[in-house]
Amino acid sequence: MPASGGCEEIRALAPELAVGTAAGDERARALEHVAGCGECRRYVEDLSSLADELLLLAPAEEPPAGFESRVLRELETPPRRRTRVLVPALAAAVAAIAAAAAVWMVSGDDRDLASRYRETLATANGKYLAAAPLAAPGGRRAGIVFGYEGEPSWVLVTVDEGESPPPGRYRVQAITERGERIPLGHVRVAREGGSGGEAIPVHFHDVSEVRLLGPGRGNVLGAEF
Amino acid sequence: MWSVSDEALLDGFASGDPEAAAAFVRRFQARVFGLARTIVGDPTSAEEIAQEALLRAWRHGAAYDRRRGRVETWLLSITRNLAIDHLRLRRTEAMDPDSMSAREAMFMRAPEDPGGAARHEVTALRNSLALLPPEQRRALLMAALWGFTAIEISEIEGAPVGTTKSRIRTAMLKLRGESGVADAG
Repeated sequence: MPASGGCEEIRALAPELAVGTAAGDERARALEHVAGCGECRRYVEDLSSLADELLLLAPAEEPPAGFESRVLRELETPPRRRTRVLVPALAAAVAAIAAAAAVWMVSGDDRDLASRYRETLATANGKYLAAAPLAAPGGRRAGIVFGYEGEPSWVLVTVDEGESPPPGRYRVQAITERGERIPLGHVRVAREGGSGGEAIPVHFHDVSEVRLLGPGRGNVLGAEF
Repeated sequence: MWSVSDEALLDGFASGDPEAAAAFVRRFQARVFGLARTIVGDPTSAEEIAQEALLRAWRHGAAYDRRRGRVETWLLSITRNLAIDHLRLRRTEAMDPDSMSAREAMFMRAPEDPGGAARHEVTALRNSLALLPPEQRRALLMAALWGFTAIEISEIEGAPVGTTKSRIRTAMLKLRGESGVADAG
């Protein structure tokens, strides 16, 4: 059972968690705590529901003429389902990811690959490893984002060498399927590229997008899963 | 079709039933567009956000978990998050406190659709919100609706970050009806 001090801290933080103003480290600490504390989890859920109820107060307003038909036309296009690209991991930990990417590119023996992949996941108690291209504004590929579904789930970002994206400190965010933004720390990008990764406080299968928010207006890179 | 529950309509919408899709969009478009407009102001951007929110609901409808809230609040939280993302990409200068007050007044105005936001529990929440001290209400709405961080709110309001956090916390606990909540400055 979590320590009572932990409960007090999380309950004090709960209103900020509910409205989304809690800092990334506070949020990560809270998510870890509520995973093992039903009482605090219910309290945070209760306040989060209250924060969501506030949205119901916004005045309804009919959109401009033609909105409904435009939306329905978009729906006629089959939904884009991104296939998760499975790659082999050679060890159980985050340190293995670079080697995993290398094997993904050079190994041609599918059966050996599948066998090693299964073995790795079994060792690491994981479900899958996924990769998606990191797109810069305008759609150009700027790197790769890896995601791992396991205990814990984690994300690793690699940015390619080059002039773009501009060098600097980039904030990393995971966007869940519900649209929640989860701050994941920072990646330092230089002309030689950059990389960084960490365990994430949610299941990777709940993540629909990973974003890098860089210096300068509109400098956002994204990878969709 | 109009007697179908929101959950059943979402099921049909997400599974690609054209009739359910049309009914779903018709049922929620005013709420989604209204919220997007409240947050971003500009009607063109609000329309893009509302469209994307409905498309995301369609793509991720299968992942909706009714234990985590009503369809309407789920859809509106998707809309809010998209609208906040939109604002964050475009915020280049500090928000003027007067502009914030005008937006808050627009948000607090009486709803026009008696079938929607005038439901009993929503009316009760609106009344509780109206009873909060203005600085607490504004801090709460700036965080929950417009997605400002505590630091940004403290800069706009000219108040220390600790005070801003206390205001948000106190406002939330008062809305929840917790007794013995001490007032924040």
